[in-house]
Amino acid sequence: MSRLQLEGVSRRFGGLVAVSDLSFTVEPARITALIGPNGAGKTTTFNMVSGLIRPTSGRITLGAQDLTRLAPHRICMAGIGRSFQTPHIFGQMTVLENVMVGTRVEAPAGLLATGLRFPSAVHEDHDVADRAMQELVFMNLAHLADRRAGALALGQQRMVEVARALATRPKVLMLDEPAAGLTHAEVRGLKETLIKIRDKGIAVFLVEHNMRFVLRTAQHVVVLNFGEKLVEGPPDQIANDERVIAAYLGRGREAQLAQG
Amino acid sequence: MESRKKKSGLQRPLIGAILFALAVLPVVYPHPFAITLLVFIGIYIIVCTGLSLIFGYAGQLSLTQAAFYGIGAYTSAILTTRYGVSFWLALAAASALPGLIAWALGAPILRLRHFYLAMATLAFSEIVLVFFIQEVDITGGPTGITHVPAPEVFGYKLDTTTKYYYLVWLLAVAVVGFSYNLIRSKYGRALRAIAENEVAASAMGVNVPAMMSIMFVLSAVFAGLGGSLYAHYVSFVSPDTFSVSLSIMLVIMVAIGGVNSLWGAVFGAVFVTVLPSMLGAYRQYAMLVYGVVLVLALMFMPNGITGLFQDAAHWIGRRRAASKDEVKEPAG
Repeated sequence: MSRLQLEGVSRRFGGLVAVSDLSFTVEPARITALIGPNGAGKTTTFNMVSGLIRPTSGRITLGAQDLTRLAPHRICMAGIGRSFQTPHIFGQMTVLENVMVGTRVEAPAGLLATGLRFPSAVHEDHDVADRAMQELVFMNLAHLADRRAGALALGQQRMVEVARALATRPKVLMLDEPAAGLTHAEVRGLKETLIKIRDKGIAVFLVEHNMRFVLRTAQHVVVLNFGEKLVEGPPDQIANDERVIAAYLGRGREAQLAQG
Repeated sequence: MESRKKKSGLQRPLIGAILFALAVLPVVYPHPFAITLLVFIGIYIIVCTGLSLIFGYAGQLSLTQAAFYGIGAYTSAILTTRYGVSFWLALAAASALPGLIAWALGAPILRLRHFYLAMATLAFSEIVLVFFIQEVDITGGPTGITHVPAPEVFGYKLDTTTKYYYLVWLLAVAVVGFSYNLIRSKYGRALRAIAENEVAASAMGVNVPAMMSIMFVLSAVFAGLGGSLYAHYVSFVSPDTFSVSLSIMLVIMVAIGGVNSLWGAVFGAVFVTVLPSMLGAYRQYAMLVYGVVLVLALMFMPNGITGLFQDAAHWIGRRRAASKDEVKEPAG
């Protein structure tokens, strides 16, 4: 299995250092959480891994493959699936269609074959619908398949995003604050879902503010503060770390930097 | 899943009926004016379908469609009148050249969005128009090119409007069918995903620049095809046909027809072609009427004529469901 590795990754926005010399590893079949006060550089880190912004320096690799300079769709193809902090759902499309967009990765039929409805393209479309449906069943969303995605509640939209990301067959599933805005019951369900995904051998990598959720769900926690890695380790060790407590209760909030 | 089945169940007989009507119309109603109008409708459907892909589905406002239409028309006219190239070869070249130009042009300008893309495409259209007017040796200048021959298909000359009608509609149905298949495949889903959220689309593995380029090229190919059919039908081409106002008109067609359905391109083409003939003596006010209709359409039916039909279908569906419930209630 391939692990996601960040080596000395930095990102500057003009004079502002959003992420500085960051190194850590996301292991397969493990839930890794990236935490830190607002503006610590968590989402910036996520966006660098998924190729939405490029690191100023450093290297990001998945197994043997270098992701550092790849376009976002290439990074997705390499095996990085992700969700977004504010749901980036395709609101006008049905839930099933949303997930089917994720299955592109494995759909090779060309323009002519599709436009002329060659049997290969027709089969592919059926296969893709089946695959998307499987992901919906896995996420307990099958009953919503034909609903317009934009009409769903926030929690459901988040789960559709996870299903959509899973449809890309990721080796690493990155979730940006999956628990935000969810009810207690939904958070419990989310935890079970993440464990099911982990048990498939997928590396689950999340950014999360809900500390209780992180400490109960993750096996490995990386703490960021002011764009630098403060500490990393298993959750019980993190929960009792002096520096982490200081960062959360102390000076951390002064710096409301732009990158949330 | 069920809803998709229902939809195709309703659409198939409708499409069958339309195709049948188109096939028998020249026989049962051989009115030359109506057939001529339908030839133009067919040509505009081809051009508008292309525009619908890039403007309607990917949500990018392109004002180059008339330029590609013109390039197609001139290519066909030049090849057949000066080099004696056969109709089919000219048709193929007239479709391929705009496609090639769109591919080259797309690389820099498809990075732009919204009004910036509209402006870049507008600039390109103007350049093409100036080329048509100024390059007298190639394009014949302001007078254009005359005596474009009627096409010959396997030695059979398509010299009447009725014969040409069948050729145009055969190609129009093929273009709409091809596009329809694309739209309901992964290509359509990717396009709609791009229109809604480019960042999410790219993170789901959609190659956004490549997808935009493919659709831009395809829209240019269809425009060129329509242009070639136009040139061989009216037998002459001149620059003023392909001005920017035609591009805007095409956008209006698609907008009035409904941007998020291929039917929009069809309805739009019908509307804009038929309207001037309905206005009769007041034809010079056509542009004014389009403007008013466009404003009204955007205010009261943002999904265009197609949207009205869809709303009506929904309304009937709900009425039916409601009446079923009424029947159920006393029993339950």
